[in-house]
Amino acid sequence: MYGILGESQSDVNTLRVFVRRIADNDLLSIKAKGYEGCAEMLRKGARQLDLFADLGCSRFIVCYDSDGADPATRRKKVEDEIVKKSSSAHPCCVVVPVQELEAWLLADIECATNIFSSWKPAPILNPEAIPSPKEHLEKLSRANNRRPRYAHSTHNERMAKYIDLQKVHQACPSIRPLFQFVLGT
Amino acid sequence: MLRRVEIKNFRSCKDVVIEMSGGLLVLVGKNGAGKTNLLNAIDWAARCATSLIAWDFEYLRSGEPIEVKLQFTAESKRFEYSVSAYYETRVVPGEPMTVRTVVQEGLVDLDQLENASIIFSRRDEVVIIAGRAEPVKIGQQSSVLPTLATLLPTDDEFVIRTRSALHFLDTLRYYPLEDEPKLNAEEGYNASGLLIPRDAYAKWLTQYKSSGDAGPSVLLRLLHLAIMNGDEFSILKSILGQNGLGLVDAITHTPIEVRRGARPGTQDISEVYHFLDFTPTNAQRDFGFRYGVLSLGTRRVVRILVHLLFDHSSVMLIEQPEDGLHQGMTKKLIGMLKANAEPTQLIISSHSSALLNTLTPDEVRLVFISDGVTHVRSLSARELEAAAHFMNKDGTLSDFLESVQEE
Repeated sequence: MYGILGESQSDVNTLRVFVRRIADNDLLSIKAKGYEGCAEMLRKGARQLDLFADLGCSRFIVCYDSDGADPATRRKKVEDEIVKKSSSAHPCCVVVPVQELEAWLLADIECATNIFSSWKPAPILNPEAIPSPKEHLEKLSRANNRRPRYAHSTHNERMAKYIDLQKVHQACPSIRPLFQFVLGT
Repeated sequence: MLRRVEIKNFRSCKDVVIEMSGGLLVLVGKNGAGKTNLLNAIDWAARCATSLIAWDFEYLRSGEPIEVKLQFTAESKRFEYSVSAYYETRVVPGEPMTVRTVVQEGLVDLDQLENASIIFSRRDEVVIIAGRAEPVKIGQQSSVLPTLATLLPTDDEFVIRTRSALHFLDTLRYYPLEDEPKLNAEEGYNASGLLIPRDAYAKWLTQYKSSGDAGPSVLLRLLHLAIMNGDEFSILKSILGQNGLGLVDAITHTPIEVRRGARPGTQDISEVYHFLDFTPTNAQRDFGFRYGVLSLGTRRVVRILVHLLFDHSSVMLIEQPEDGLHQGMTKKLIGMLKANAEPTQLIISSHSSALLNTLTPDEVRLVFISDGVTHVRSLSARELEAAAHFMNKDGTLSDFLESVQEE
């Protein structure tokens, strides 16, 4: 069973979908905890990993957006504040999306048509270069005063169901550790 | 106290069992998981047991019986009431379709080893009572307990044996805490009224004394408590006041005579009204407010407490008491309810982390839905141990429950 931590409930719900799709197993057991921001996650994450272990989780994933900072620094922060402070010795994958997790969704933005039938967005070649992918995604959905509009808290996990995983893997190097961890490669 | 509930085929509750042992149980689960269905099922069974005209068609289905069993203790005796009902239709060409409810009821008492002794069993109009050679016939639409309690002498063995069970089931109540209904405009006031006509109160009181049914109005209950000015009213004011929840400093009742000019040549019309006045804590004026202009949260707290103190329910089934309340007030209210509810048992549905964090893990039941079917479970032994470890490290029960709730 997996235990996933993220900065928000939306992030962990989306990651849950990705993990199951990468593992090609809709029934994969996953426990997830989304916080109200990175500070809370860093403060409480170690305790949560211990709880996940007590509940039977044996593989952990922690996702921390880089938000423009150096991803390596972010990774080390998670390892120091969460992984090392947890008493669990189970394997843990730290995933640091460049900017935000929404960059992964921008890698195959065309699949938004599955959710919003009247929205046919053009492909985005380099999603990890977009400074605020969440804002960009929501702004794109507002073009032409279209409704309903994209709301990340609801639609991120919906999009994740339709995303072409190969496209994301190719366009977003930051997701590759997640693939490697889930596939055991 | 309710000990065990079994529900079959009640909306999303296909086959649910809930065991309980304490005065407080909280149902936790996402929207649409079936928490309201669970509460409705318990309420439905209690209404089937105690209404002279029962069998609410809203829930019944054709051909597939709803079955609910309520196991409870009342006055140190242990009972199990069971009810099963469905409707069947009959179509004869050229004639209107007929619809008939098919009903079974039963009441047993249980000894300490859970051996059951039948008190009565009923199928449609025929009731078999233990110890009686001849069955009794009652109306298809009638419930056994109140019907026989009305027909048989008060010293009849059946009546004596079932009295505590009937009282328990009759005072098991569901409180959805939706907006109060506007009362009949002809009564001269509505639920938020400043002035309540004396005649309206008198009519309500007569109805209440004769039937035991106080109706939906919190205001009339509150007025009655104020007029009686007994222990319950003092307790209510104490709980709401500055030394309690700090919401309402005073509740004042004043009868007022109002004279209205009649047509020329006739006498003025004089009517007496009850004036109920609330002084919220921190109010910046010398006079009070009518009930209707109190804040949503204050009215909610008043409603819950009035129902607790006036209704003397055996069980209160309460939906989301936290709606409209600040987190701090939610915690205080639950503390007050826990302290003051006994012997009333509280079964609550909630989404509030503030409320959940006042509980112990064994007071929680997780409700989730899978393939359209509601499931209920308590925390497993492993989860209880994990909860203890987590909370020892300053984790909260609400955070813990997030980790164990089904997706």
